[in-house]
Amino acid sequence: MNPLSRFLRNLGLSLLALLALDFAIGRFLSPSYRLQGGSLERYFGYGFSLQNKLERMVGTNDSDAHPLATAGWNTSLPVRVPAREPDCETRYTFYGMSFSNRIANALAEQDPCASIRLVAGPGAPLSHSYSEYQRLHDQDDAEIVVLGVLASSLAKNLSTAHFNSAFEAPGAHMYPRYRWLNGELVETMPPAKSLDEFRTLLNSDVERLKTFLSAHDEYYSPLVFAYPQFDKSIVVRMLRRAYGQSFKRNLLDDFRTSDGRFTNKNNLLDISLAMLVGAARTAEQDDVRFIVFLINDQGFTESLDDAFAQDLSARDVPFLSSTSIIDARNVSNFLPDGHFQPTLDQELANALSRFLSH
Amino acid sequence: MIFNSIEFFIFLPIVYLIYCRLAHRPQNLFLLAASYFFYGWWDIRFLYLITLSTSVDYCCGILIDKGKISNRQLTSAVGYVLLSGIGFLGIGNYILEHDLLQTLWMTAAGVGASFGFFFLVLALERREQGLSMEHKKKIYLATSLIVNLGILGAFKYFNFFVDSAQTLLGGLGFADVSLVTLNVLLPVGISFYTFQTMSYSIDVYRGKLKPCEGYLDFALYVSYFPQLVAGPIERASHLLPEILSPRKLNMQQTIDGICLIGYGLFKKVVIADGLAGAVDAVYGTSGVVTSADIAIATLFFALQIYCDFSGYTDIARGVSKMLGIELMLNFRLPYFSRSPSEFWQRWHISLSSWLRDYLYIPLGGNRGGSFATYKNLMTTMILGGLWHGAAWNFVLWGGYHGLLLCVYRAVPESFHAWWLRSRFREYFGFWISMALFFVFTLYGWLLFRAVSFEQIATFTGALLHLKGLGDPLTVPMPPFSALLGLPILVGYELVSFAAERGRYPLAPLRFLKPLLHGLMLFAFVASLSTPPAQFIYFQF
Repeated sequence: MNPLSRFLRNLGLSLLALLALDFAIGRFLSPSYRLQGGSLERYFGYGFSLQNKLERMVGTNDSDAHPLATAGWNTSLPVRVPAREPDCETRYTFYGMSFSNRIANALAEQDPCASIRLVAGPGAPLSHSYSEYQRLHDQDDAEIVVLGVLASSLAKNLSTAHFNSAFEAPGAHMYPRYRWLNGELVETMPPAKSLDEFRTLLNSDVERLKTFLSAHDEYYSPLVFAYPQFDKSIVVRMLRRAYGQSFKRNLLDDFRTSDGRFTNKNNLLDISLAMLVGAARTAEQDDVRFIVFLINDQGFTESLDDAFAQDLSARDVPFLSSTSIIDARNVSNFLPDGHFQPTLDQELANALSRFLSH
Repeated sequence: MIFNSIEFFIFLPIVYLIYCRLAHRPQNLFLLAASYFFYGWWDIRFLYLITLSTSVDYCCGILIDKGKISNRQLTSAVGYVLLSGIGFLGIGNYILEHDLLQTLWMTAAGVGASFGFFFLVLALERREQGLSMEHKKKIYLATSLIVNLGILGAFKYFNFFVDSAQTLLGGLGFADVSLVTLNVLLPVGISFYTFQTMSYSIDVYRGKLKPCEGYLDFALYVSYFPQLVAGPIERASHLLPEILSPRKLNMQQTIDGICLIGYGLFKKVVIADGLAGAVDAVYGTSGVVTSADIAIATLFFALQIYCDFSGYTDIARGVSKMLGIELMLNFRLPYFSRSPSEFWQRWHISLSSWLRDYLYIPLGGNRGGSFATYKNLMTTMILGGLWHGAAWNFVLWGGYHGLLLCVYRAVPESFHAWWLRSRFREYFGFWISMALFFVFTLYGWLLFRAVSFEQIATFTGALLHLKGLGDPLTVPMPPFSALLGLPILVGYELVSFAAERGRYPLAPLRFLKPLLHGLMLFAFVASLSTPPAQFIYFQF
């Protein structure tokens, strides 16, 4: 046998072995995606098409849906958690994501007078928090509004759905997309404003959803979202996951310089600053004390400060940054899921109290 | 361009297909252009340094051998530097920076350096006419060494020594003294190609090699893309004849090359990149870590750096094999070493043999008694450590290996003789000495990977006191792909080691090879979601 034939035979046999492994592991591990199961099941589940994941997550009704699918769709203000000492009650509302929720909870532990309300979505970007604040501020009786901005979520302002930016473990909620036209914010509302609407859209008019995402969501990739027919193959799922990550990395590279600063590509910084200032002006009109909390999470040392501190100061928007308290380069400051260590949440809450007492 | 990038896997087949259809001379020209393209993909401006180094060594080689250089040879050398000054520095800078003023400065510097080089060669030729040939040869060699070490020193070590001097002055109470530093990037692969060109000049000086007459052939020797940025550091006596003589390409070579590339990619992408996160989590933290964390992370780093560097070498050798040029072996199962001297015969062989031939032996080697030998060993290893990077921990790492070599050498011959005769050694000694030396190697990697002296002290203390043994680990679990790939790698290395000793224990299981390759492919596909990382040795 000549060398080429031998090589091709060996290559063919190796590919056959790969197919056999694909088939065997696929049979051994459940092909369902519900975010439960063993770590291997989860590992091989990251690459399912978003369409498949979302169809399974949203279920047939809200009670059947996965908790991640129900999160982030705030249709009304949540019930306020009362202060432990009602006589000295100070009413806070935190807009943001899990990071701001954790700081709020730490504040409630420290301050018996704090009465807390949380409006948040998983990994929610500023556009989610801003739209929620604009929608709910009339109904909100808070004395102090804290708007959390998470560095790793900032670029998601150019997205409209959590699932596109977090395709490995997606949530279902959608939020408005803001654009910067002639020096003003222009809002585009998502086609679904509640889980129920989203379920209907996904099950009966997925093409409309895809068309909307394709036009308004920079994180949308058809290869990651669609083609559920290939989900049975583990190899295809792994390739899809790799592609999705590379797509996201390339996208994020456009919004950050090599030294970690945010760029103003697609007016990301203009849009974000306009939302921060807009929220501050709304609070001013409502006579509510307002504060922006810049949260630089892992790998984003001072990124938000570089992007906004000067402009916020110039526009008299009060802000506080996590940078002076937490070194985002030090991995020991973080839990395995990326959140700050609980003691650091306490320190951030403490800093917030001190800031507000001045 | 890096080997584990999409661009490279578009570049390689194009180069290969065109290359196969060319005759020998055009092949060399095409390879030179491809090599410049490969390097310029990273930053075209630094190609100027390569052409400058090429021209200097080309002229010095001829001058050392003949004492004079023909007008044609001098014109081609100067012409290429001049052209690269305008093209790579000038036009390249304008393309990258769009800054006309800076571009004019860069072009002027490039053109100025070209004329400087021209007058230097003329001056060397004329001024030294009254000197003996031996004296002249020394001057030409010194010129080559000064230019190469000057480039290396300016781009790699200048800021390091200035910073160290600044720290020293601060310690002596002169904290307000501010020394000038250079704001330059470290050119990729500079340590590799300067050492390669220096070996050429030295070999010509020693009469081991005739100088290369063709400028373009020599330029290809300096910039041959498979080994340009991270070795192996080829000797001119080996690579130049391969470049100068027509090559026969055959299918078997191509297939062997593809297999080497595949295995190199497996080592790099599956193992090295897969373990990087776990290593960084421990070495990148200023928080508290346990002794178990440090031990595991250091073991992972040992595997990471081996797979990263030997993976690069495998790909380089594979690519070169496809092109019909054999590169030297750079790694020979280094973690199976049983002594420090054996380790350096197996690890980064092209560098260790370079240091032996061009530093240790010229310093006197082992010819001047015990003290001189130890001194030469320490000097060689410390400089070898410094070669790796402009940081004190590399110097410490080199010194540590020098110390190991000295201690091993200091062990009395009678002990070696007893050990070789002992029955204990016959049954267990082989594996025990291997395991023992592996522990020493691991501690060396701790010195190498540490980010500061403070971390070295903290980690060493934690290991000695078994700090936090039993506490929860900080080091994260490597990804599934790396966990699947590791047993394959270990098995492959064990089988290769057995084969090296003439044993083939798994030969009857050869029919399972496709399954093993299938597993490797599976691990490779799984590892694609790990962010691609630069090769560690690029920074050297």
